[in-house]
Parts: sequence; structure tokens; C-alpha cells
Amino acid sequence: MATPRRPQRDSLTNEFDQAMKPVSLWADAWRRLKKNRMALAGLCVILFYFAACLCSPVLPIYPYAEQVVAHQNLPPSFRPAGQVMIETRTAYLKQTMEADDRTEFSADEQAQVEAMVQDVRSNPVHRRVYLLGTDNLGRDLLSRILYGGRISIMIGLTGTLTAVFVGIALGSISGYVGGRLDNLLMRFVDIMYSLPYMLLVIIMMALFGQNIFNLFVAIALVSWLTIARVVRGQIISLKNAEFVEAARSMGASTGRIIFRHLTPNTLGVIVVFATLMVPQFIMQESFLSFLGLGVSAPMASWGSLVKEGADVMELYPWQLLAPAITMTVFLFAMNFLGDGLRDALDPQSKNKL
Amino acid sequence: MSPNEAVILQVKDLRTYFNTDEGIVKAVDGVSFELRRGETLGIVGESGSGKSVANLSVINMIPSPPGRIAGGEILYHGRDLLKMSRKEIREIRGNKISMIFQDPMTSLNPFLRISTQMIETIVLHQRLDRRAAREKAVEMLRLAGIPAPEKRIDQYPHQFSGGMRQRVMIAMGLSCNPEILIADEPTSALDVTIQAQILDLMKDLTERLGTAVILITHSLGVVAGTCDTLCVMYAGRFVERGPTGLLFEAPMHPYTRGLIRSVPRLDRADGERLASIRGQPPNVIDLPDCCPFYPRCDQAMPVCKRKYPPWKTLDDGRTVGCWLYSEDA
Amino acid sequence: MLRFTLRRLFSLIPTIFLIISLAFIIVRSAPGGPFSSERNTTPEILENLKKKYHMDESLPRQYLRYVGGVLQGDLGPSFRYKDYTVNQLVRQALPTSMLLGSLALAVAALAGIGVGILSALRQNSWIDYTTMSLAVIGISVPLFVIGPLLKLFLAIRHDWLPTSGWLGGRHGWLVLIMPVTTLCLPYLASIARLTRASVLDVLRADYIRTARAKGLSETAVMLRHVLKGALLPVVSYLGPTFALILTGTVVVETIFTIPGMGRFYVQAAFNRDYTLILGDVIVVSILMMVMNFLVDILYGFLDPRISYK
Repeated sequence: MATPRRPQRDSLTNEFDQAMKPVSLWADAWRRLKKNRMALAGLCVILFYFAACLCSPVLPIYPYAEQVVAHQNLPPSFRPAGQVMIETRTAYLKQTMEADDRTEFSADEQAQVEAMVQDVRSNPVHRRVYLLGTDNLGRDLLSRILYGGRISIMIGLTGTLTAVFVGIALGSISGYVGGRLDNLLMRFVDIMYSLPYMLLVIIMMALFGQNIFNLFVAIALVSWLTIARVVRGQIISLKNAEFVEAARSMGASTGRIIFRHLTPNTLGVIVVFATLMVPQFIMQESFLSFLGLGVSAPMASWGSLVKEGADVMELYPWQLLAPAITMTVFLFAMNFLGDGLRDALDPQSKNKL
Repeated sequence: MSPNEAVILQVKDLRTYFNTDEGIVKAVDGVSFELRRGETLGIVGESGSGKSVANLSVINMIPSPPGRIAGGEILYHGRDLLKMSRKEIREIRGNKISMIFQDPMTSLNPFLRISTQMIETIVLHQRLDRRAAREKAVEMLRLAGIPAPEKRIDQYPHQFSGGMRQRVMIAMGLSCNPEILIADEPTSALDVTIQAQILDLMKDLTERLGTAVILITHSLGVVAGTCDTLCVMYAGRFVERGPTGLLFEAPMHPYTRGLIRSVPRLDRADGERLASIRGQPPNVIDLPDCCPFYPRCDQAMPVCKRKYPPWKTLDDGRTVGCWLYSEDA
Repeated sequence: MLRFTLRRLFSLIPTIFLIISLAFIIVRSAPGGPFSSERNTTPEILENLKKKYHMDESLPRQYLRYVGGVLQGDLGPSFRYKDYTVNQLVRQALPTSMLLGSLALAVAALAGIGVGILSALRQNSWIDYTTMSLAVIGISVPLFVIGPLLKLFLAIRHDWLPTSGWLGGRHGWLVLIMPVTTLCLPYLASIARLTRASVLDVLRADYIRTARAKGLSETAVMLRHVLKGALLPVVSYLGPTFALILTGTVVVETIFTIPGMGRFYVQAAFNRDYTLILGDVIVVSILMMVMNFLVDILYGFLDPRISYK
């Protein structure tokens, strides 16, 4: 809501000596966003995740691919791994003992425990602390989750950026140029929309091999469609607006009109879409990983971690809960932020939540 | 209509405010007027002057979270409409006081037939059965100039043209024979050629039925031919009020003068510049106590900047709010 | 009306052809074949197998042969499950998936619309705030997180519900609860949000202001004027929702070991069982298209502005 300029006066007061704050679209939106507590909380959470993932190479955690066989399936704990290991073993032996109706350990079992204690004292690796426990190959779950986060978030971001660029480019051109090009493109979009997309992606991943490139191509292939449609719609409605006439009358070329004048107007919608697309991408990739079709070992993504956790959830539930909760919290932070951005950028919208 | 007709509606010092992020918007800040039986009252003002809000306040239809009626009385036959219960005011709406709106394309429900939309009002207020209500509705459509009304009543709004839709709105508004019809910019969304037709229709029907009309518009041309009395509104308050003829002949408030002068005329010399009022309407948030028109006024005096002008009644019954006419300047 | 229907049906045919062809191309251009994992095959046996399944013919001929078969309703033999044809497998698995999907859709639609309307009417109240926050959570939690978590807490830790299986077993209809709940939750959440937004939009419309100015009670305004317009976007969203639900059955059937099309599909993909893959894709695509078609017709009924010309 720009206020009219009065050249003779100080730009900050009008003729009534009322102070006027010049407000740009983005400043206005930021002010509204600040009021939305859930969206701000979401933003903080996301920044925290980004920071954690970026810093992970320098954090004091253990390499995500390093397997310590002795540390298999340890539960999360603040205490050193050695102790936890001994306790778990002892508890297990106790169970067998009770099942056999005995009241004390056999010599063999006692020897086992003794050997363990010795090992713990001598080997420094047992002094590690696994805050989130370990998986079935003795890998630190916390570092795997951080690493998986980097992969998942990267897939989400790059996929979204690609979809956004391709979508904006094709949508703008199609919307502005119109005519046969537009018709052709929209028919193409319609046809692609009617394909059972996920099914085809599954086939592709299963048959062409699971590597991150295929994964990326498969997911990005269809996601630009929505953005292209939305951008095209916006461009078409703005195309005949007066400021375009003004630009044209000053001799602006078609390219300049499209990219300097029309596209910035659609930015608001695109920002909202992009923010909401990142979680969708992450979910799709996780979906594939869950079926065993996503990233493959030793790489990890949140989806593959959830899959591994689901396989052993009866015995070691934290292996499912830790990645599941981490991923879910990130996704709903992004969704809250996306909603908040939508409300902030579109003041007419009554969707307060 | 003679000046001795009974007063049916009295609005006294109406104030309607809206709470926004940037402050309190005083959309209507002390508006008073009277309406007589059968009178046509015009309210003229720029966009944002508060004219629509004032009239929505009369039937208490201000959306309540941001808006509230902060003061004043609205006496209909002596009863204060603002103090009525929801049920009581619903009996008045559509029945005794009816309101029609600006854009007929969006003011009619696109998903329901015209018959449904008209019959529901008649059945609600006049306690007729559906068959009788339908006959009444068809009759109203016929009076409003819709051809073949018995067939067209079963159609949907998108099957009518803009002018036809507004005729339907008028028929719907008058179907319960209200005492007062409030028409909020009824012709602003229509082609110029259709505007005249609609105005004639409204004049004709309301004279026939004896309905008093409050006509809200930004166009002087519209009020010139139709209204008995004229109120000019600026920044939430009236600045001048009086019989239409007098106002046009000898406008008193500088704003009214500016408005009348800015109407393009055929009898001016070619090449003469069009007159306009310089400046922009004010932002009605936190206006200081001054005359809101003074930055744009050619006859502004020092006192205009310091205090809001008093409302003065003159000998010929006209009223004006301007320091030029007050001895205390 | 009839012409409209027929025309729409006709336009579905080229799309189906496109899908079949696309799937065929993708499947056949992949490395490996259905017999690569066979053990102990001599070259002669391999030759015979290939002959039996017509894989010795050129690819275009195989394509034509396949399409010809499909047109007659024959989806071919399964490459992997030697004694079954794809038709038989589909006939077994399809009703299961359909039941699962339809129940999930019905619950998501009815509950979602109800919650959405309630939230819209009580905008900014604690009800609104709570349900909409839950809805955001609902769309953020993936199916394969909800499923295992439900299974963990309701079936493993507490033994209230059976962990897997389908109707016909000793648990009867209890076995439906977890899979249907898992599958419907994200879509219930989206439908609730969409309905709420739509109702709020309609409430702001000019024609609602007119209705109120005529003196109608709030109930009359809601039921007669608001609902129809507000539900239109929701109805048209049901088509894509159904497609998403069908996709979701792949995961849900895997988690809860339900013998439906979804589970078959993933296994077929891994086994390179070409005909089963293609058959699955065709059937699911047809289902999606039929649903979209029905939704379009329904929408046309509800919105008088759409003409059938």
C-alpha cells in the first residue's frame, strides 16, 4: 500500500502532519508474518535444522558410516556406550536365566560379562556417548539422522528450486505469448497430470537403479507442472493490466515485460508454493526410500532411516521414533511457515491459521 | 412529496469505527439526517468517504470483529434500531428497510435460481405460501421490466445480462413493499446507457409504491434527476445538506462547489481545462481535530486547521459544516 | 448431457493408450529381465522361456501383441507367478485395495468436510485453532510414519488391534481400523483445511451480504446459500485425493501386510514381472480416470454455470 507522494513536503508526514511510514509489499508482509507465532516458531525450527546440518562435519559426533559391531542396537542414553552395552547384555542374560528358572548366572554367562567389562575398560571406543542410540550395525543414530537430514533437505531444496525455475520459465512464456504455444503447453501439462505419476516413478526407480540422480530426475519431472500452471494463470490475469500497457508504450520488449514486470508480481504466490513444495519433495523421496527405492546404503535419508526403524520397531522402538519425529517436526515447521507466508503475502485471505 | 410528510427515519450522530492494525478507522464520525415518507435522499461522496458504511450501519450489518457502531441513534418510527435484538432487526431487513447493492453480478447467488432467491424473502416476511409468493415474485419481475417473467424466474443469474440482473435486484428489494429502500451505488457497475433506464425504473416503482429511497452514489449526474434532498459526505461526515435544486444552484461548501464545477459540461468553450479538486482524500486514521478538507480548499482560513467546523442551519433549511459560514471563525 | 458423457469417455481412450505405451517403454528399456534372477537355467531353457512369453519377437511386435490382448480384456500371464494370469491376480487383489481406498476416501471426505465447516463457523476460537493445528500436523506426517507408529502403540505395545492381515481372518472388521485410519488421516486434514478456506471465502461474498440484508436467519444463510458454493472446490478436489489415496495404498498395504494391488505392484517392480506391472498400471489408471470423470459430472450437477454444450 504505497502512499501518494507529495513533492513539497517531507516524505514522512502528510499535510495533516500525520506521520506516514512508507511501506513496501515485502515490509508489510514481514510485519504480518511476525505476528503469526506458529509461523515464526516454524522459521526458528527450520533455521535450527539448517544450522545443525551445515555444522555437522564439525560437530563432536561420530562418522555416520562407521560401524562398531560391539555397539549394535544400543538404546539412547547420556552414559558412555560401554556401560550401556554391559547393562543391555546383563538384562538379556537375566531374561534367559529367568526363562530357565535359574536364580543366578551360569559360569559361561558370567565369563561373558567379565570379558565385556574388561574390554570396556581397555578400549577407548566404549567411552562414546550415543545420544540417540545406535542401529543394527552399530552406527550412531544421531549422526545418521543429521546426515540423512542433509540429504533429505538437499533433495527438497534442489528439487523445489528446479521445479520453480522450470515452472516459472515455461509458465511465464506460455501465459504471456498465449496462442498455439500456450495451448500446446497446457495440453501437455494436462496429459502429464493424468498420468499415475507415482506408479511410474516406482517403476523407474526399481528398474533403472537407485541412485540419487535417477531419484532426482524422477521427482523433479512432474513437480514443475503446478507452478507452471499457477504462474501462467497469474500472468494471464496481469497481462492486460494497465502497467503493462504503460511499459509497452515506453518501448519495452516482450522479454523485458515478462521478466522485469510480470514475474515479480507473481513472486508472492511462488514463494508460498515453494515453501510448501519442499516438504512435499521430502515426503516423496521418503516414500520411495521407505519402499526401498530411494537412496541406498551407505547413504541415508530420513525415509530410509524410518524404514530401517520400522523393520525393528518391536524390539528397538527408538530407531523408528528418533528419525520419524525429527522428520515430522521439520515438515510441520515448513508447513506452518508456508501457511504463515501465504497469510502474510495475501492480506485478503481470511485463513488466519 | 411535501415537506410536511412524517419523518420515518432519524439518524442521530452515528459513529462507526473499525479496528485495524494501523489504528482506528473512523469511517463514519458523526452523521445525522432525517428521512420522510416517500422522500428520495441522495448521499454523495468519493470512494472511502464512508457513505456505504453509514447505510450498512442503519440495518446493523457492519462485520463485527473489525467494525463496531461506536455511538449514535437510528430511530425508525421512534424505535432505536441499534438497540434491537437480532431477531427484531431481521424482521425489519428486507421487509421494512430493504437494501440493494452495487454489483449485480456478485450480489446474486450464482448457484440458486432467481425464483428461490425471491421466494425465500416473500415467504419469510409476508407469510404467503409458496404458490402465492411465486406469483408475487413474477409480478414484481414484470413491473421491473423483465420480459416473460414466468419463464425467466426459474433461470440462474448468469443467464441474465448486467442491466437485467439489477432489475431483478430491484424487484427483489421491493418485493415486500418496504418503507425504505437503500440503494448502494445501484448503477455504478452498469453501462451508461443502462444506467438511465435503471434510474428511471427505480424512480417509477418507488413513486408507485410510495417507498422512501436513500440513494448512495459518487456521481452528481445520478442524483441530479432523482433526489429531493442531497447530502454531501467527506471523510466520514456530512459537509452540506439541503434540497437538490438549491445545492446545485448555489453550493455553499467549497467541496460541493468543487464537485459541481468538476462535472464536464457541453456548454463550456472548447479547449478549456477541466476543473478538478487538487489533492487526495485524507487517510481517516487518527485525523487531528481540523476540517478534513482544508488541504484541498481554496478558501481555507487559519481556524480551519485548528478546529472542526460547526454544523450550521441556514434560513432556507440547508445545513453546512464550514467555517466560512460561522461567526466564531 | 449424454453427448457430454460420451465425449468425455472418448477422450479418456488416447490417454489410456499413452499410459500403456509409456509404461511399456519404461519397463522394457530397463536393464535386466524377468528371468535374470532365475537359477539353474541352461541356455535352452532360457530360449524356451523366451519363446513361451513371446520375448523372442521384436519389441514393436510384442507391443502390438500386448495391446491387442488388452483390448480384449486379457492382461497376459504373470511372468513371475507362473501359474497365474495377471487377470486372476488383479481380480484377487483389486477388491481389497478398492475397499481400503474407498473407506479411506469416505472417512476423509465426511470427517474432513465436517471439521472444516465447524472450524470456519467458529473462526479464531480455540476449536478452530486446535483443529487447524492438528490439520497441519496431519498433512506433515507421512503415511509410513503414522502407520508404523499406530502399529507400535495399538498392536504391539498394547495388543488392542491385530498387527496385520485382512478381512476373513479371525479378527473380523477390527483389522480395518488401523490401515483405514492411516490412509485417511493426511487427506482428512487437507480436506478440512480446504473446506474451511472455502467456507470462509464464500462467507465474504457479496451474495451472502445480500442474503443477510434480506433478513434471513444465519441458519438459512448457511444451509441454503453458503454450502453449495463452498463445497464445489472440495468436490473437485476429491478426484486428485482418490488418486493420492490409491498411491498411498502401496505403503499402507506393505506396512500392514494387506494382500492388495499396492503390495503386488512393488513386488512386481522388483521382480521385473512386466505384465503384472503393466496390468497394475492400467487398472489403477483406469480407476483414477473413472473417479475424475465421476467427479467432473458431479461438479457439473452442482454448479449451474457449467453447461454441457
